[in-house]
Amino acid sequence: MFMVSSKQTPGELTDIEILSEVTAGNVEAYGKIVSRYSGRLYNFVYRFVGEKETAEDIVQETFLRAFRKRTEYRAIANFSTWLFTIAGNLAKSELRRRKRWRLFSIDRDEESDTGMELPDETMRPDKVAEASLADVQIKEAIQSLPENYRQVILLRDVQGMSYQEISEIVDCPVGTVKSRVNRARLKLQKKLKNEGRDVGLEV
Amino acid sequence: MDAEAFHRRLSDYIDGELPDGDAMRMAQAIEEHAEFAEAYHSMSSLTRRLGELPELQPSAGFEFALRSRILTEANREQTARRRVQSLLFPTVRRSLLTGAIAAALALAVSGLLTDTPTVEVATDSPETETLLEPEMPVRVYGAMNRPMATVPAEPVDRGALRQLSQAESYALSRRLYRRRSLRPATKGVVAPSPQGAALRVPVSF
Repeated sequence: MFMVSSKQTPGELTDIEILSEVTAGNVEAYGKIVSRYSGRLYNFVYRFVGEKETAEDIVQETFLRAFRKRTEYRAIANFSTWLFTIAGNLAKSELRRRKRWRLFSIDRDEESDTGMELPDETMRPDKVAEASLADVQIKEAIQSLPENYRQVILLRDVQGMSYQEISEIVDCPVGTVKSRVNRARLKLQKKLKNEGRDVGLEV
Repeated sequence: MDAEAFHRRLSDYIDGELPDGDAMRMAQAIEEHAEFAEAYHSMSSLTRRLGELPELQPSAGFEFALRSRILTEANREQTARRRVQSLLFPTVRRSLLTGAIAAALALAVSGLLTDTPTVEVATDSPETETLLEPEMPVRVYGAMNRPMATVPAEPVDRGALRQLSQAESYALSRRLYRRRSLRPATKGVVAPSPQGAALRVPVSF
């Protein structure tokens, strides 16, 4: 159990049924939830924060929080929407924490005048090997987007969610989400075009 | 349609979110203007490309670490629950408490259901039996039909039996045992012969 991947197939228990089992004391049943969503969540969070280790920590924390709050979950929204909401909030918190830390580090470094350099993570072997160069370039372009745009374009174009689901996750009206997705796509398109990167786009 | 309006609606058009009228105007604009057509094809291929990004997998230790954390959390919850229970019932274990409550309920229910008749018990072995009066007191006879004790006309319970002396208790037990060994236990209460002044009766505890 606790395998990583895939989605629900016909005949399988629904998320609500699994949660009922877990609430009744069958902790092992939670593994079905994990195996159903860990892959999707990991991909979303990894492309959001841009680091594997951080993404794994956030996904683990997401499942743990959902487990702790399992009795509070009400079937008003999809369980997956609830998970993505938790993961998105954790990812945003992490990005803010990281931003604060970097500002603090750079400020301190200027005072001490030691000339600290932030590591260039793009050339790490695991990152280079993760996919084709075009994928890396697209990933970098996504990383350059503002948080709000990055989140919605990942949920819409990478995860394939509906605008309604995204609006529940980001807690914004559907119109706002559509507008953000449009701007995110235009920015991404412009960035890839300006940098002259051939990423397989038919431009 | 100007460029600004076109770009504002382009995403919705690609996602099929525009009403029919607007969608037709967009299609017409794309057909008529080369730059609009280029923007449309570029964004379409971008969204398609994003949807085809490879699915990444967490590291090998991810599964084990997550499982450990969830099991730890489950244990922590269980410990906390036990702590609350021990605070509420510090000296009595839960199983004992449950057992005591169940026993009390069972006694209460049996007390309600069993309308224990009062009985007259005789030392003579009756050949025939008659129905007993429900309110009769229990009289215990010893050797030579000498009356030894009378149990008041209340349900015969452990308390009442404890009040009997050793001899009385012995006589009663012997009578009950003999009656039980003569025939299988009967649920109905039967009357004694006219000369046998009394009988064994079911005694409920």
